[in-house]
Amino acid sequence: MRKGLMYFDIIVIGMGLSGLMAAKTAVESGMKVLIVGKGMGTLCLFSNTIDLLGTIPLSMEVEKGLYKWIIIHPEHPYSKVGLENIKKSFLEFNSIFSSHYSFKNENERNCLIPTPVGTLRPTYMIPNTMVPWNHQEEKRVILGFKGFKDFYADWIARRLNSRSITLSIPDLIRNEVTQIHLSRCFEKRLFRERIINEIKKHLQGEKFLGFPAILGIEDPYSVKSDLEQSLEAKIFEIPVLPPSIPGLRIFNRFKEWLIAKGATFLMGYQVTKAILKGKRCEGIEVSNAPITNLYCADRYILATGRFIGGGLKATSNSSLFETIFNLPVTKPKNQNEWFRKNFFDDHMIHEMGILTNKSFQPISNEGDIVLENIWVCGTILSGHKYLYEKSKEGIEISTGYMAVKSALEK
Amino acid sequence: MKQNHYKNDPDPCIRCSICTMVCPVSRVTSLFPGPKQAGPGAQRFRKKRELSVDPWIELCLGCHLCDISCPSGVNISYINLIAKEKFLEEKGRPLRDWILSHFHLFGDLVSVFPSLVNRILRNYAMKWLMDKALRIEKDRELPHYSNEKLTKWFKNHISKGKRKIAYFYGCYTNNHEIDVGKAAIEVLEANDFEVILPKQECCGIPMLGNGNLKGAKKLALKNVSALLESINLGLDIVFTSTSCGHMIKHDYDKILGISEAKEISKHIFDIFEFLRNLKTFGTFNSNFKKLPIKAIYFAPCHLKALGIGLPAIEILRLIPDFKIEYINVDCCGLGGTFGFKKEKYRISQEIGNDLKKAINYLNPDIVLTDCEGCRIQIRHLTGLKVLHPIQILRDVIK
Repeated sequence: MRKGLMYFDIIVIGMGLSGLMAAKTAVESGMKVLIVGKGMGTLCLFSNTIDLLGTIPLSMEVEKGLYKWIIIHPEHPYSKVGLENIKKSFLEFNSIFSSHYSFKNENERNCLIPTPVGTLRPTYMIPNTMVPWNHQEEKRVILGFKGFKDFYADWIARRLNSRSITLSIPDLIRNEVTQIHLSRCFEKRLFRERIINEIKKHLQGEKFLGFPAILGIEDPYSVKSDLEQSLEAKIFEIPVLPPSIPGLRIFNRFKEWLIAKGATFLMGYQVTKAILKGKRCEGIEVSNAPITNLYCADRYILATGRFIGGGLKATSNSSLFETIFNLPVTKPKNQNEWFRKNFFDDHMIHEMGILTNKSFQPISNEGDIVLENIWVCGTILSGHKYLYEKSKEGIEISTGYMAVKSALEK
Repeated sequence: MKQNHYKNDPDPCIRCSICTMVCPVSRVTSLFPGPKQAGPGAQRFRKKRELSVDPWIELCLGCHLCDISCPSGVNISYINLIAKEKFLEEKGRPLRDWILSHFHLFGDLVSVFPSLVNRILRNYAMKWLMDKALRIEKDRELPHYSNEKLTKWFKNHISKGKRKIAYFYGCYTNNHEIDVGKAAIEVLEANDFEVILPKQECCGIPMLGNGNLKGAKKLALKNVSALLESINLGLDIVFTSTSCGHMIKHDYDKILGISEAKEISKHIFDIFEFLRNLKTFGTFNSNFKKLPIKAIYFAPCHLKALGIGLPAIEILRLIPDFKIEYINVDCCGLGGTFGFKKEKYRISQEIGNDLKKAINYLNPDIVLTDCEGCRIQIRHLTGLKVLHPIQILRDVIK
């Protein structure tokens, strides 16, 4: 075993939800863990709620739906994880959140929540700040803010048959405001009081108020409770266009937890090279110009995501590759088959990814293990269409958990 | 990191806005449009021959948090720095900025009468005058000069050890906080190193932060030749200031374009990174006394930008009975000379308030952080005892 200056039991590459979940699972098993990512991970861009499998009808218990899904889709990541382990992984995910910010589901079923454009989408778990979204409730107001461009209350309200109020932000210096600044403003009692007074002037007896999901970063549930008390109404957050404050809350919680438990958290540095010997990875090189550092471990978890995360890349000459270990990627032979004509059609490109065995080890088309001490998790895996299935976070949580569990069995 | 784009190329930016989520300035004020708009967004419209139109560019702290979070490898803070340099060159640099970025020059002058200067700098009338005439914020305490400089103390100090090591102490340690330097030297000696102090100037980061790249480069070139001399003698170099360290290790080559500095980058280490390496090789002296206190550790932005994890916390966790917690807040808000400027003081305090809240919640006996700027700011915000982690380590070595 080659030893670098920095030696770990497990190195996790990628800082999205699957990487964070993998690192957490490894830390809990007593491992010395490095998690390295070239940036903050797409968790902070898209994730607002926790999807598991949005195609399960609202009337059906998710567990039942998942059970059926696994039987029909043997190559899906969920089938490799198995129903019991999916449940365990969700318990593990929930265990690091406290009452300040935690996730709930409605009677073990999917529920519908509004999107930033006012349509409804199914999801499985929602943060306690998005409860009680109730789509049957008639008397509802959606609140927006002038200068906040990622949430148009008027547009959303129209599609949700609600009324909208767009408020001016007190003391706004430029005519634009970002999610992060607005979120921090809401953490301040004084700011809230001014907003509350403003809202009271506009209310016509409505008891359900939808805010954009910017009610604070650290302790949003307290912000929500305070607003509810002062306005004598129920408050719920509605996701806004990317980036996502709810995603940032999840990221921050994982980061805090991991560092407190002794994991090494290395954000901002790209893995530029994997040092391979035979069928093993012996180390990774991480670049911080003008120097490169070598990190070594017994086991490596690949959680680099797809095209936006940077785990997969496509070139113009029909080649599609995995960026760190150059693992085999499944794909149709002809590039014309990658895409369909219409944006919302079923594009084959979404199904492509890394082929693995049941233990999440990367395999070739012939079924041979390519690298023995690498385990793959998250959306980079093949065999799923998370955009259509509405299964992104579920795949990330369950495979992040399971890849490490499998790795530790070896 | 980001080696392909470290000139000011905005094109890899996919406008995902992740940088805006971590920017400490855009968190507290809408005056700054955020790294995405100020950096790659505005860069696409900037032309060399056209005048700058974005005075808010001066509000970039240079913390590098945007660079670290960017998933597309854009060097956002570098784009901002170049724009800031151009803006200030057109507008003219205020005398105040010159004074703040030349503080290192006053060290020798002051060392004759440090206590007199300290009294003058604390005098209310003087502070009021500086506030009015120079726009240096009167509510901000100016750094206190030590009675003796570290270099002077070292002249009468005999350093002994089997191997030799060079120490880049930085001007703040030399003039203001010499106990940090003494502690570093004593810890290195306890690990059997003879400490050498190579000839050195200010690393140049205050000038860099004030958009004066030419001035910074002049200082950098002097340091590069002096430090290369030590390296040619086969010595490694350690630093205790993460800002000086980051400047030398990464910005000399990356931003100032001094390619000889690449060799230094390979041989210069944060002191705790160095000690952690000793631990890996089994030669680290971890014979510690108990220390039953509760400390919290704050990671400076430039430590994060060094990309070495949190070596101080890893080493300090070895001390028996010592309780150390990591504080999950980004940026103290001082930003080097930024927080001394009258028009930026309130922004600096607003950023710091988030840290203050978190510190007060944890209620520690002591706060530890590797950067002098962060120490100045945390003392100012909380009134707590704030030390460099090496001072704690010195105290527990048997």
